[in-house]
Amino acid sequence: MKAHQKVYKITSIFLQYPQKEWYDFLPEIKSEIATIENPTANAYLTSFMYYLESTPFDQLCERYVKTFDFHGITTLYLTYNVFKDSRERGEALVKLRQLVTDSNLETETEELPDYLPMILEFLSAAEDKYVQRMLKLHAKSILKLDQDLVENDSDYHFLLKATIEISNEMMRNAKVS
Amino acid sequence: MKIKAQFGMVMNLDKCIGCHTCSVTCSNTWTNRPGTEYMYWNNVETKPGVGYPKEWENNDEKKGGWHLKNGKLELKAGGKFSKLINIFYNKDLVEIDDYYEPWTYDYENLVNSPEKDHQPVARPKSQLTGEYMDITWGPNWEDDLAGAHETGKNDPNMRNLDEQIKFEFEETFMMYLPRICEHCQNPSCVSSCPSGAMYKREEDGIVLVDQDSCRSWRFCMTGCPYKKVYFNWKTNKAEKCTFCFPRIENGQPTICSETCVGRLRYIGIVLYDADKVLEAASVEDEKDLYEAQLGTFLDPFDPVIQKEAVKQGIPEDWIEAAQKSPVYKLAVEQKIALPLHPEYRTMPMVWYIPPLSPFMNALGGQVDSLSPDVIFPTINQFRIPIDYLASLFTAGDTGVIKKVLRKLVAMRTYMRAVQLNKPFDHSILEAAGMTEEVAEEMYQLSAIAKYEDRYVIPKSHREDSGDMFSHQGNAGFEFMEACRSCMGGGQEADPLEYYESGFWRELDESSPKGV
Repeated sequence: MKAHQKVYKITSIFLQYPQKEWYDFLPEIKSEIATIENPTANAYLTSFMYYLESTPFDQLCERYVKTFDFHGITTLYLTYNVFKDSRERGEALVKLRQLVTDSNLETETEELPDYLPMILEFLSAAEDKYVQRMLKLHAKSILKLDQDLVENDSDYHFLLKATIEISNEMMRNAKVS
Repeated sequence: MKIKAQFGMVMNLDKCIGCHTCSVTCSNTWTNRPGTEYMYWNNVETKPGVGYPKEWENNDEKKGGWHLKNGKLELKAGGKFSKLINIFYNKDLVEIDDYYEPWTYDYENLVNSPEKDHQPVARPKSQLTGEYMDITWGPNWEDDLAGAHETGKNDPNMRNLDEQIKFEFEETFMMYLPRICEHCQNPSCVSSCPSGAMYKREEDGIVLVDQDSCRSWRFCMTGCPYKKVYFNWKTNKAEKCTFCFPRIENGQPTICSETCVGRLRYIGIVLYDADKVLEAASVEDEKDLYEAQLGTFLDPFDPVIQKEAVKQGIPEDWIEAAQKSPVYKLAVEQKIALPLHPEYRTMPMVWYIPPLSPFMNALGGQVDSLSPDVIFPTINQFRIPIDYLASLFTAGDTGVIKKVLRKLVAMRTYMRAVQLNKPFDHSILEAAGMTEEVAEEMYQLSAIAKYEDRYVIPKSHREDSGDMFSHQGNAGFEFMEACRSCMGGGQEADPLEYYESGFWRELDESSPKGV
């Protein structure tokens, strides 16, 4: 697994609803994080690990729901803030799903195709050209989500920052090569 | 410090001949659709007079703008709560008769009328009902003081004047006042909208109505103290002057400026500190509002400001444009342009150079023996009363008006001396607080400025705004009366493309909620 794939995979997991099982494989994940060479992404992920470990599980769950589920500002459904409930959102979602299907990766969930954890997992597995297309598509939304999380003092912004950092690195490398 | 760029306009009232070309070209460009017949986004009023709509300046009754309540800025029309309980009945709303009932003429009759003893006539027909009507009021009823001996008394600016005298034939005075939306720094229409459909553009300060979000509450019409938001009775949406943003984005002046015969309009940007706006709009004394607004503008030549502006994302060419801006020169450097009715506390961005009155006439035969002792006292005897101008432009502070008029007079006498090669008494300039250089610059800009000096308009940075071609013809009125003929780019915008290009709506909810 390449570094950026690791970051996407890790952020994809932890942007989902907190699970008790996470604690079992935290040490393993931490050693994986240690191997990521990008110091900034590394630091962000480590900060988030600290948040996980230092916060009681009940509170983790409560904050997750309050952050992502109770209002449309910091939502994990990326197209929502652009289209709200308009008809165009439906069309956009159909096209997004098409993009995922084109890549020969199979979707196993019923989630909408603009669900960030799913997109991140896709990024961690798909071929480079699909990754770049997907990143370009969602870049503004991801940046916006990060901003909104920062404004809300949410620790989840560490994950977004790590994603943005590693994506920038990747795009730079892509341009060079 | 939060630095914003803002488009502004200055109109030199000395040059306005009241030809209404601006109103006509604006109307042809923007309001030639059904439902907009009564609208003049740009109109020219003859002052004194009640104007369009009638008595728009009387905001004690019309409830436009802001006032201070216990030292805090509040909408005159009431806060959120009173808006909510009155949402279905807004008693302060301006009605169509306050504008006028728009009409056309029954021209068909001229052609189709059978042979008769009398000439056929084209009777006026209402554009609202289609019925024949009698014309009793129009958008420009008081042109050149027509009927002003009756209506002029109701001009709110006449309140503090000895009106008896001013309407006597020998004492009559008039001036033209072209008006567009002020694109205020502190727009009360935006704050009045219950649907969040009105917004002030981040990048250039232009105030617009989102036609998709407008829910026809019409509180913007009441909220605007200049009564420059209109209601399209066909689409049931609010509409207003757009500062011709499609032209502005392209580096072209607004259509009213482009076609102005007297070349009296100037367009440019100023940089201002958005963090200072609330404080400036909340100063206790109305007469301090003019200075307070000047205080929000930032010096584009200051290296510290420049650095900070770049840091905050203002493009370099915009900073350059702010340095060359005629608006900055006239309002801040030369201090001869003044805001219209600063007491509304909206901090308007269309400013005016007050008219001088025919001053050669006022000076009589003493024109050539000019000394400060002669010319400055005559300012008080100018045809247009200082008090009247003060009521329009400085919330009643006659001192500021006098200072401006002094500068204008001093500049003219100086230039007269230069042109005629005559000796000049420099104490005139000194008394007006000017140097020869300033006088020269004022002359350049107000008398012989070229197109590119009058309009310093930096283009918008479209490289930041995605593929605009695909949106061509799609913006604005597609829900009702889209412009089918100009759908050049893509048939319909691809929603995914729209998403990718990041056309974020400016949402009320953009500030965090909950958590």
